[in-house]
Amino acid sequence: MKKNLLVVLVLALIAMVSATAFGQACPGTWSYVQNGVTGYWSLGSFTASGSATGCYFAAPTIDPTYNGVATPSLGNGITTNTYTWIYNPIVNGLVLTTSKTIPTNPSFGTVNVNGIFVPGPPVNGVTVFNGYGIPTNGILQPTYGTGYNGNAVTPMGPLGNGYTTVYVLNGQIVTKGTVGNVAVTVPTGAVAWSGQAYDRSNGAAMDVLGGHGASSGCMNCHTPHNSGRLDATTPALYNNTLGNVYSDGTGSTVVGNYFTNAAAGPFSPYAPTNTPAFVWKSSGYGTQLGGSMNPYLWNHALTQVTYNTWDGTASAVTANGGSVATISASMLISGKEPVVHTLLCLSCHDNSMSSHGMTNQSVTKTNGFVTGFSNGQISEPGVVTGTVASAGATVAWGAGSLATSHPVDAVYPADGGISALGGSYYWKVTPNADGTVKYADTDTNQIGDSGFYGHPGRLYSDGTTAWVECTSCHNPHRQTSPAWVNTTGKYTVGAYGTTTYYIRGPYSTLDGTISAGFCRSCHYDKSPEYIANGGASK
Amino acid sequence: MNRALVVLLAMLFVAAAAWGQGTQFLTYTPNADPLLGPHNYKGAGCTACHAPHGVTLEGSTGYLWGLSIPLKAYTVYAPGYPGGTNPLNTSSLLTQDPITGAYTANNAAQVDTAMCLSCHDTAFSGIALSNPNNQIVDSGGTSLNHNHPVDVAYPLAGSNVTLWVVNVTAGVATFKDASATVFGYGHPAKLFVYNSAAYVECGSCHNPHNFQVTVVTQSGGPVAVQTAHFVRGQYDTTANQQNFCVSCHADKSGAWDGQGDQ
Repeated sequence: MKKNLLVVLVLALIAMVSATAFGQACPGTWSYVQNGVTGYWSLGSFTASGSATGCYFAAPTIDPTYNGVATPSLGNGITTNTYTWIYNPIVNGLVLTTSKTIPTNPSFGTVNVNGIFVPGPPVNGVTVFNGYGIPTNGILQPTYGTGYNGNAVTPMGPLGNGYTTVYVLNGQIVTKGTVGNVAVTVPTGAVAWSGQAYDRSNGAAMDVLGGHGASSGCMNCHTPHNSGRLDATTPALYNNTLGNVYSDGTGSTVVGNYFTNAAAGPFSPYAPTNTPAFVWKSSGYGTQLGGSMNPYLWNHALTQVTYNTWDGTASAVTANGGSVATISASMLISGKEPVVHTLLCLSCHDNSMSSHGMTNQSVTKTNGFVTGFSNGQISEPGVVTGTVASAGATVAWGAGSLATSHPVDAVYPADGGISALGGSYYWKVTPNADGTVKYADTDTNQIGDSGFYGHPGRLYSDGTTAWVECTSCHNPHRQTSPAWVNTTGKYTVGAYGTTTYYIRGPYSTLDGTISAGFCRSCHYDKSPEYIANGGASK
Repeated sequence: MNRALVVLLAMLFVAAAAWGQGTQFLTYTPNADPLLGPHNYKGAGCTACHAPHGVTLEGSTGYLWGLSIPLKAYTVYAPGYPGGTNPLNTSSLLTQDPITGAYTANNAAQVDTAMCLSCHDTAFSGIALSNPNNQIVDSGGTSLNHNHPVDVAYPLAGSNVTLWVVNVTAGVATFKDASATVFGYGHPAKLFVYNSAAYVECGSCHNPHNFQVTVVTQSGGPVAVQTAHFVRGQYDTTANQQNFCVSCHADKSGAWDGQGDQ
């Protein structure tokens, strides 16, 4: 009997030690009743970098009255403190604004630990983002957490139950995947990474493709065989306004919208059953793209929208020779090849084209203003969101706009702007017949050369003129480790710093000199080199 | 006493060394951009003001502006100003794009003052400027009366004799003495054109991209010079501070002939 008692005591002791080691057990959901309304909160366990443990409030995502706009007063260790949530419950169809105070040492109700967001331990005062919240339609969404930077999830494809921790240590971006509510141990000295992360599923390591890898890797954008979807038919068949005529791929024509899935209604994703013949080019076209009927073996429908673009700063920097320019796939038919490096991006980044639900996939402005803008503001301050192309749901096919983005399909003055603008506004370049463009500044082409940034941006040539396209700034294959052709004709890969947003050169949202360096690698008159050269062209 | 003297001399030595380095001080220092200076707000570099996507101002007059702009009317200081004013009401300045929701600046000159107010009207921005003197809007939030006139017309050639002669051609305002062969300091100020008239805006005196050094045309050719406060011209000595003012105000310069033909 005494032996049994001893065993029980030992087991109890082990249990106590284990409980201490694994932190405080926190119920997943706490329900309460206030003024006759039942409310719920999700709770997560918290383990600080020391031995302190506790519970904290995650988000009232289980609350049926919660409308997704709660502003939590963040904190941890709720067993010893009082916290207030301000949120807007919907009661009897009315949106109310109220605050609810979590009392000290509340008694918890039903436990539900599924999908709770867990922040990692603070590192140098910054809590590293490492999780996602409750799945919504199969996609894990980030919720609230101390230090969450809003950039750490790409809402594409099924993500499963895993989550990813991304941080920067010794200049390198580190990704750690975990499963379940397990806090990731982050080394001392690590800082939160401000780029985007994509969690494929169950914590798989982030590929160099990042979000562009989605769940299909290369095949997310490309197809290895001749079943690609790229279509830029002859102008007579090139009209996708609802009710007009398109080719059905068998030599016949069909009335309707080629990109419309009839069952799902207008502006729905491309319908494979409507696969037409792939008429990419007219005779003789495509030499710069390998003569392929389907350049880059593209695996998406090609946008059929005509887009307005930003109209440039002066006559030398207008696209297509007009003060207000447009681009469309019809330009490919007429042999304007550089524009393909913009049009392909719009297969996904025009939300009306995409089945990925890219409602917030524009490159956002970071570290901008975060407070103080209220009366009279003309847009949301700080992070500006929205689709890169505004079309589809808000306007009819055939009328898209890229006017809120940096100019694309815009002429880059080869002489730097001297002849047309009267000054050296840009670095001088030479457009080549093979589609490449070479910067004249051969002696400072390497980043790290006495602080000069170099020229990782890529311009495109139609044989005589250099053009700026989407991929002039972005390399869709390298999310964080830039690579570019250096003066030796080989590639510089990942040196001189990481990048973000798929930018072609080193870029930091935390260091303005680095990020400005990328802009200055084209905008010569804004660069230190311009000053050093006394304004002389280069 | 001796220690204080040594410290003072050391400080002067360092300052003199820095001053004498010229453009060589343009070395890379993390988060201390040599050109943007305090305009490298929060280390955001170019994106502190500009947005590669999702701009708030569209078009060639919008500079890929990424910040909100106060929409209100301001009064300006323009006592008897010869060219008149261009009423600074930013609410009427903008037209909204029905597709993108962004705005286009209708007044190509006025926007070069309005953009500055995104930050420098602290009543609007709520930004604590590092130097309180950079809050240029009076406490009421609508008056620029305590500043050099902005959004006022610069009289063009033939209509004045006290200012250096300016011509407007193809939407560009150019000083007749653009090569600075008459007034060797040059005419670094930038005038902004709207409806064929030239206007003085915030950006006329300040280049927000060049905090302490800039390139100007002096005595017939371009040269890199020291400046301060983002002033567009050389602004490193008392004489050059005066020169910048008289680079517009011809009647205050020693090179003025009083004929209105310079």
